Amino acid sequence: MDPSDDEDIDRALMAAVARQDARAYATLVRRHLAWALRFVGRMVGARPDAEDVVQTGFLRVWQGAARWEPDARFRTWFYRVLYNLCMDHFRAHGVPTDALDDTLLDDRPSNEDQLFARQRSERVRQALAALPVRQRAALVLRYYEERSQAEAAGLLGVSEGALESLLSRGRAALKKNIGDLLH
Amino acid sequence: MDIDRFHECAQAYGALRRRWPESAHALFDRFATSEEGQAILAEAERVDHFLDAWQADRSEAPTALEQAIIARANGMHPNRQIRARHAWWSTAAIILLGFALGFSQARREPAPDPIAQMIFGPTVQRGVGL
Repeated sequence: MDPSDDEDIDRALMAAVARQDARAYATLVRRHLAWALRFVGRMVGARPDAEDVVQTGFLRVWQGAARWEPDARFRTWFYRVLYNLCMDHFRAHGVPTDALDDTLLDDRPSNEDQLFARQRSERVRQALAALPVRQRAALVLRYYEERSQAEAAGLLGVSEGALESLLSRGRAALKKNIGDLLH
Repeated sequence: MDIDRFHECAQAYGALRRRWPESAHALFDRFATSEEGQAILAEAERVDHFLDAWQADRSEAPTALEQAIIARANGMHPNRQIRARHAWWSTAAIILLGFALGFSQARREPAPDPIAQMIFGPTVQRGVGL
């Protein structure tokens, strides 16, 4: 499907949701739940927490559809809603969200030469979770979600240059910490 | 546009051209095949491989979650709230009406019993207080 068709469908659904059309809302949920859960899961880690954040996010859609500006892509707008809710989640759990300075990762030595895929995956998850929140968000949005430079910068509320800096520092921190796994 | 900038981009965006900003695609094309560029990309690729090892939970979103999300919003449907508010007022009105009718009925003099009238006559009936 052409991306613009996709956007048109979202736009029409949001217009219906603004009129409190429950069926349109259900369709919108089905269209966007999977990626929303994946994105939030990468941000907050634990699945139950991700589900809570996503539920709240969709509730914001239901309550705020009338205020949604149709000139914005739904997906971009919803990314922002979810990102802000992730920040709320981190603040509620005492995780600093505005630290831009580099934080060194816990550099436990790894003696696992032959890691199974799941263990490796878990290690990456932990390494990313140890990054400052904004570096993690930059990596999730640009690397995993493959959002454009402008979109990711807009979502994080930083310039494109600052986004590049977050990405560089995030990747450098990972590289330093998990050098033993990079082979 | 030089190799230093190429290095900066590789450190930020990794080894794949599609992950670089469009504005840097020409830079990528210019250096990616050079010896120095290849070495830089190989280094960036190691971090890419590490990041790729994270297997996000790609399982379908649970139906229960989907239903919970939809039901939660539906529970806040304004029309439903209006209906609920109407139901409350309706119930209250019926109860008040019931009290009013009961009260007025209790104050009203009871209608004469036709059987008592037949046996004792209208006067006697009034006299015995029936």
